[in-house]
Amino acid sequence: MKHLIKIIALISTLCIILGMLSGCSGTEVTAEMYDASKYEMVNEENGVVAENEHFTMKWIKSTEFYGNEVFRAVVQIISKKDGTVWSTTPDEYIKETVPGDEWSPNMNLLAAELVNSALTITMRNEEQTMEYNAYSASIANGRFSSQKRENGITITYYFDQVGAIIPVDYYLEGEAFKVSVDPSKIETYMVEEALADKTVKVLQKVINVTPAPFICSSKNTNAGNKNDYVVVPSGSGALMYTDQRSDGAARTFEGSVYGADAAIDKYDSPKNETPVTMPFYGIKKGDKAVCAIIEQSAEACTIKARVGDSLMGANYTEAGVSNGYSNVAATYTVLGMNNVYESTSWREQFSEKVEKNLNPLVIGYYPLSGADANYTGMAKCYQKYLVEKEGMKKSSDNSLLTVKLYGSYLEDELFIGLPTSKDVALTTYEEATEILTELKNISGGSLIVNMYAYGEGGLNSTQLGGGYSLTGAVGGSSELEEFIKFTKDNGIKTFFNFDTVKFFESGSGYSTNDDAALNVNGVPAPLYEYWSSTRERYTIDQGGKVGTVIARDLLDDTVNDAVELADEYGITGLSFDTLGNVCYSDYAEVEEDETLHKYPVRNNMGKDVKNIISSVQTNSKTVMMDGAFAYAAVNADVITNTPVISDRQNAIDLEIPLYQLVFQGYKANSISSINTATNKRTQFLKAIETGSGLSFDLMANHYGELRKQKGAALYACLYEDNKELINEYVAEGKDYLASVAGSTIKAHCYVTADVTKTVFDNGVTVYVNYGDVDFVSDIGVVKAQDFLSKEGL
Amino acid sequence: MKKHGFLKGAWCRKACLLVMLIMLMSAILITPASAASLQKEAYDTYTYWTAPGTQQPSYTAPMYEYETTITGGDLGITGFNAPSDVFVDKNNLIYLTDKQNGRVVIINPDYTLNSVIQNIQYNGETLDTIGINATFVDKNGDIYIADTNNGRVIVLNSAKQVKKMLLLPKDDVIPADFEYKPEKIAIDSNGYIYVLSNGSYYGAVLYKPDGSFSSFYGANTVTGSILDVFDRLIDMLFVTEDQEETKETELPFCFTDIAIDEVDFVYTATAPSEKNATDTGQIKKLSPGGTNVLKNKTSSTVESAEGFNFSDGRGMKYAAGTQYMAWRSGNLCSMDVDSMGYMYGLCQTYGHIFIYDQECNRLSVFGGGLSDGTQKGTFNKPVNIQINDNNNDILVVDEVGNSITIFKETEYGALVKKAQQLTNNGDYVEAKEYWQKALTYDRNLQLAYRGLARAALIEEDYETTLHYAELGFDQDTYSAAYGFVRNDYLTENFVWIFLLAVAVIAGVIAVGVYCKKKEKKLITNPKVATMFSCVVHPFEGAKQIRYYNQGSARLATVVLVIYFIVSILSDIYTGFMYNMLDKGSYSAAFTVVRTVGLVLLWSAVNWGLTTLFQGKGTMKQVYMVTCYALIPLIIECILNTILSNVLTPEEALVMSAISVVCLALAAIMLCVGIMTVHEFGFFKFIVMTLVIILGMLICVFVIMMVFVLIQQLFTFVGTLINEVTYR
Repeated sequence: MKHLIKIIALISTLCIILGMLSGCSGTEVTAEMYDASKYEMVNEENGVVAENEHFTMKWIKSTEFYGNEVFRAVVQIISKKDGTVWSTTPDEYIKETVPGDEWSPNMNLLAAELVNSALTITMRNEEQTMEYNAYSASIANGRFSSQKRENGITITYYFDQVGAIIPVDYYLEGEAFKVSVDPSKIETYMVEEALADKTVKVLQKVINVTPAPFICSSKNTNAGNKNDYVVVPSGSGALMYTDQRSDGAARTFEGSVYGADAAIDKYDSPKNETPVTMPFYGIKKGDKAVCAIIEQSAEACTIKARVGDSLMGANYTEAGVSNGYSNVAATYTVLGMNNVYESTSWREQFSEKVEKNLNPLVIGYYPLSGADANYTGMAKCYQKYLVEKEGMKKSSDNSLLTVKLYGSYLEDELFIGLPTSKDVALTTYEEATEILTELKNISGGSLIVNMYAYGEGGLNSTQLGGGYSLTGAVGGSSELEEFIKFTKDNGIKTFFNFDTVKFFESGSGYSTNDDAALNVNGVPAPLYEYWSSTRERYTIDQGGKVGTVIARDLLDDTVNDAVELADEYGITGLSFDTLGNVCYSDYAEVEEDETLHKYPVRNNMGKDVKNIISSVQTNSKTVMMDGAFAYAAVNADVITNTPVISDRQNAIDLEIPLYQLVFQGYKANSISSINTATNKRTQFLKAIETGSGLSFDLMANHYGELRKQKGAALYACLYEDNKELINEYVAEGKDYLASVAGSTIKAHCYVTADVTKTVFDNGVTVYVNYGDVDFVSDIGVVKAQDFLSKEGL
Repeated sequence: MKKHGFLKGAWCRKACLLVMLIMLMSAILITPASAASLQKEAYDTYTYWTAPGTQQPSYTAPMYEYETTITGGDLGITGFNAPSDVFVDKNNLIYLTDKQNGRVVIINPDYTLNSVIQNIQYNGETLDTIGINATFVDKNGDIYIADTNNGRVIVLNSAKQVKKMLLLPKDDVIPADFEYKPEKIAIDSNGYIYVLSNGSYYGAVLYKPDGSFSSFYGANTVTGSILDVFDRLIDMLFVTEDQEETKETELPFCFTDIAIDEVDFVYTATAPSEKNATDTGQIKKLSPGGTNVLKNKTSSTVESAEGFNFSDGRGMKYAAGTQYMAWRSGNLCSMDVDSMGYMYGLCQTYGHIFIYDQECNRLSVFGGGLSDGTQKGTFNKPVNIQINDNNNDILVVDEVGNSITIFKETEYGALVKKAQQLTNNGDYVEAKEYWQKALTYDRNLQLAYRGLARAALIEEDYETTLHYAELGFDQDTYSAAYGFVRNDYLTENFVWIFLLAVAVIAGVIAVGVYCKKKEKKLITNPKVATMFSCVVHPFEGAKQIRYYNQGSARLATVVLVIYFIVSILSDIYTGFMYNMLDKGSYSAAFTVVRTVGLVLLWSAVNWGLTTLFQGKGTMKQVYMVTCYALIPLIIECILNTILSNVLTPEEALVMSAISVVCLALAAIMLCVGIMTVHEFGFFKFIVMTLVIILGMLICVFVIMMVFVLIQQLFTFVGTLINEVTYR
């Protein structure tokens, strides 16, 4: 009895202590108080502050009177080539303003402020998140200072109301002008906030900053104009026309660069997201365009575009109310966050630490004009950037045909009523050999194969890298050796796939607890499964599995394990299906400095992956990346599953093959599989449009139990069902695709809404007609749902 | 599927499957959005595989693909403001009811603006049309506009001039307090006009072609349960008139949409309410008399579609606002029917579009948004669905998105529709090639397997029938073919089967004769002999256990274990015609409970209670006689499991007979055994048995309570550990 009392007392004490601890979760505010009087506003004289052979940079600080006072704090970059002005507040907007009208009550005040803001920020106190624009919070109060820096100027904005000081650098560098924000230079202080009955001291944290949101902007064109547009790299790439339609409504796009952060929790999964694959965007206005490349910290950025808004920057002019402005910009997140569930509701939880070790954001703006002032020119600009700055090298030419062969899956079994499972072969090595023999004959040997799900557990493998062992269900070691010999003898480029990022069970030396990336709450970032029908989270109490992603520090180890296994079996090609398209944070603390996180806001993910790929390649391995983000595609030898559609957000007007425009001719690439596409013919034509390789996902056997599998399109992958289709499409596209296999795309455009024209650098031109009626082109009649190519125009 | 009533295990299995599998409504899952595949359509297409007791969602090839979205800006007019309805006339013109703008926007087939009906003049005045809800165009080109706020239907001629007004009719049938708020309109080929009035639970207001009132048509009814009857009885006995007046009256659910097919059948959609938590019977096909004639033929038992869930069912609890959790449930707010008879339902909650045939087979589900549709093909608040019979396009109106989304039929979609139509019409062989082609698109197509099985059956290709029927979970067609296959097998192999049977019988006889002649006993161990003698001589066997200590607890345990194993094997290996086991969701735990658990509980409670009432038997003896009584059940399990793989359901009488005999024998053995070991008379045995059953129920209740407490304790400890770990 005494023991029982002791135990109860112990538990009670423990509960009380924990209860007290839980009540202490708030952060003690210890920051210094903001003292506005400490900062003297010193400004450079108006005029030229920097100059190089391409640009002149001007600083304009003024107070003008248009009925009300209007303050200007504008950085302008003037092209020496053609005099085009790129400005933090649109030059056209400044010029069209007529006295007495700009601040008319009929105009949207916030919209007017935003057009005049060279910076917008989002801040968070204990309770709420608020957005502030530099115009109302800083410029209109004269609370900004400017100081020349090398080749440019630094403008520091003082947000007195919230105690934040944010310097933004504008500078010239070669053919680009750049804007940079260094998070380590952002200062935040406590401010006094008046409540109804008292005054409290509050420390607000900066969540994100959007520098120069209107450098990439243009005046809305009239309804129906399709010449001017915003380019967003959503999936394959997309255009948003900047026309102002009759309803005057804003059409908005928002896409996190490199997709959602796997370390951020979410409750439902209401949509499929095709992420932003490349860190650049742009705008075209008339015969001018600008391409903005996020050169540093792209992983932490979100690209936001707003087009056709009749309010944004609309002015009363002599001609009446002017059209509004469209713009596209990158928002840089500087504070880690997570979504957390607290008893009855979800809320955003932000990092307690200020992420001082984040890399600076650098956005390079590359003006384009004439024939380059379009999305092709932007793609070429980014391609040039990758070659010159990121070291992108040409790998091999495209192969005509890329096939993904599914190895095995785990089927539920019962042993005397006890649940067990076994690997069931979808394609054995022997069957793979037979299939590849046939496909080699069809494709003339121009063939790549991705051996997918050949690890233990196949499609249902829960451990990293499929447990770093190959399943015996598809054949033993001798069959594997024979298969590898067969592929080598026949010149078939073969890759074995490893998922080195996501896992649901500990094993192979990696623990889901100790070796996982941590989220802001300091726990392993959870990966949930979702109901296929309602897309709600499949919770643990319903039997749902919770996985995680590997700690960022261990990414190279997980890849090296795959390399070791490949060495063991003489495999020379490695495919990583998640390494190149899962971009995530890891909020583990820096050992030497506990005030810092190791990889906050996905810091350096691109750089790390690039280095990992390079290290694999130095081991005499070739690397295939599946649906690779730009940072992974740059170093990969082969890119498969390249996107041909965008995120399909409502605001998107037209999908363009921006991804292929960048990588075609440099990286052997193939589009996402034809046989699993909603419209197979359209998918085939997409490959033709950009000269990409044809791709099919295949298996030798199909079983009824596969209907329960996670893979969304396994229902269409049986080789027997697709043989005819492969024959047909390969025969149809073989000669043409061979002719452009290693060529870059020189020009691409939509001739009509349904017909595209692509010109390759070797002179080959192809028209693709997606429509239902024939099209007469300059090289002949392009039949409906068909293509027509001609060499050497 | 014809289930055999006394097939041991089948009842349990059915109950087990029903409980477990309905709870595990969805079987496949999707991985997080950052999954391997970089490119995905904005939404997935899936359907549900139908198996007895459950429906499993399964990805499938798209029958429709996104084509375009139309907004006011796209048409060069001011933006739509809460559009509520869309209609496509015979000329392919699209009529969008732009509710809060009080206008009808007519759109050309190429999605350009045709004209706008607004500022309608009537008797020299401009009609207030803000809040109009729906538009219908009849075969003469007359345009009917449901003017909800003003309680009228405005009828325009093709020149857009007001032709007449349909107001609230004056008729004795219509209650005095009836509020006329026309929301939806449908007109049949004879010119009868059906008007749904918001909030009306009397059904549609039916006008004759001349505009005079005919009657109310097809009201929903309130379904009552046995609890409702008790509730009513209590009310009658104890509730005062004042209290009665303050009680809420349970009213039928209102129709939310109406459609008419090619042959003038009227279809309605009924959105769920808090009372209608089970979400069934949302789509109705009404006969001229107004009764629902839609049948659910997705399994072999033809049932009324009133009990069929046309939506995704009840979803999960989710955080609604900051204060409470709410259930997210399907809300099938709108429906339409095409010229082939396919029904299309629109779920407002999930933004899903469902396609059904006339037998309630779910062909496809697509769309999405979960009230946050920012992508093409997903929705914020979809409110209306319409089929364009000219080209099979699906049009969906999004009230919050202020747009119409148009989906185009895929080649695969056309194939499946054609094939299923032929199959439903009984043209199985003609449907065959369509199904085979459809399978090359989608190997998850259950309807194809079923269709091919039926085609093969007609063609007398029974082996193929079995193959496809098993793949498609079609037990009826399987059974039909199986009889032929088995008979063919027996005919072909009659000689050796006959000889084998003769040899086995002869062998048994020979062994018997040999043993008798030599006076040899097959079973020499007396305890084993006692166990088996219990089967043929229950009284003698029980006496041996009670008075001569010839029972064996070990042997009894062996019997119990064998019974448990045989029960599991029966679950697993019962023939496909009688049982479809989902290995992924099967759990032996329930079998443990209903075999070992039941016997142990019975034995313990039996001993505990009978001791108080002069029962002489020990717990060991109770346990032994109980276990020995399982021997007939073991035999029944084995025989029926084997026979279920041989006999068709039409021949299952044999299995029933075996079940009856074995159950009766087991009951007798148990009865005699317990009476003997406790030295009870029959009456006392019956009384004690009832008491024991009551005691067992109490024990189960206590065990469950303890289980819940332990579970909570573990959760608490787990939370403590987490707190300590992460702090």
